[in-house]
Amino acid sequence: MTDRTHAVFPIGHYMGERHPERRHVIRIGLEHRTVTEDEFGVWVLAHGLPAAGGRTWTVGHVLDLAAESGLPPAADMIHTMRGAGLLATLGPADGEALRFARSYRLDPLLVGIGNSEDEPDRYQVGWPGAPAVAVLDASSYELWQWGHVAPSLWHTHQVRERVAADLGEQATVTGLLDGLLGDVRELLAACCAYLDLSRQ
Amino acid sequence: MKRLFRRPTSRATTLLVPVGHGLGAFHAGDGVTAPVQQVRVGAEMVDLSDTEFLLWSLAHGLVDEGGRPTPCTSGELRTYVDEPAVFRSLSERGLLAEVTPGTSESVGFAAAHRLLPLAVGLGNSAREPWQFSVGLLESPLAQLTAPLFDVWQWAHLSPDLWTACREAVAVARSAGIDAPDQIDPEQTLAGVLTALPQLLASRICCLDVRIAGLR
Repeated sequence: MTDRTHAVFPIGHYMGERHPERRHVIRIGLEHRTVTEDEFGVWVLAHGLPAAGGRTWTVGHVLDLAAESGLPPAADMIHTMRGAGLLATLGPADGEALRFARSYRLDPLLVGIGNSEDEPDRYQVGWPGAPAVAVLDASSYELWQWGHVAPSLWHTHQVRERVAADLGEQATVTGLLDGLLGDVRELLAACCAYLDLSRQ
Repeated sequence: MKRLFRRPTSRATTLLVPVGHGLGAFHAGDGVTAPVQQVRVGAEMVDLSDTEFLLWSLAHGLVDEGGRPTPCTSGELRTYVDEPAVFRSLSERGLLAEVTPGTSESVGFAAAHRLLPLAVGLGNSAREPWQFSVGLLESPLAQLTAPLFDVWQWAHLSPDLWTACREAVAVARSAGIDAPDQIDPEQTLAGVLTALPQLLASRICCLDVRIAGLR
């Protein structure tokens, strides 16, 4: 059974509910996976909540919210969806964050609206002429704007490592990866990006 | 066999299309530097002036009197912003491109560009199982036919739009589909290009340049 304290991430690009089958379709890499209404609810909860920002979002958070939402006990669904590649969990063991970063990439959704002179560190994304869907900090926004180009999160990590070295900052791999995963969480919770398998 | 892509008109319009992912306004926040509008094209971040950004934005789609997206052409766009130098500058930097669906040149255009989704699929409905919505959860922005929905969701996994059309045709053939516009890559491409005004105006996807080595 999956540890309650492990971080959990949804994988895949949502393609909607398919009729007449009444199954939700999620594209991962070159394949479609189908899930039930309840499993889709768990997959949505695994994105996190915008109010939680980039803080770690765990299996325990999903289990508790699923129970509050009236979903059937979610532990078995999480186990099954993890096995199907629809959820990725991440424990504290050495190398897990690194493997995760190598396995996935982040694809951005929406378009940028930008920042303002008064709030230069807050970047809006959404649709032109409509209220912003999300407001991002500079770090998350940078991850979002280059997502279509970066083959994997590991590639982004390496870029951040080089930038930190160029600036003479004391940055550890663990610290940089924690920051990167926090940015990923912020984008997922705000529904302005999704995770997919890394490109070759 | 019913055609599932919209048929290109016999005298296809030469479309003017924007290239790049709009990133929005950038203010340096120092109270001195003038703000710019930024667009990512391939691995480059391009700064645009307000006039350049206006032209680039308008190229996503004009609407007719009924609010329906209409094909954007260079002639029509010039009736809104008559700035030949700005027009030329955007074209030279690859931010605007012209393409005529159904022509041999359109294959070259497709081989040089990618189609990137910017929204999620919302599926079909029991009442209209042949129509697929795209947008954000609870907010549909466009309705696509099944073959167009397929190209929209899969094309960015191919290195360019022409490869995506050829791969879509291979899948259609292996599934036993015999509709000519789904088993001929040039007809498939013509259908996608004809639908570009709808796809780009709703911002459910954007065009980007092909990036060597990225698949």
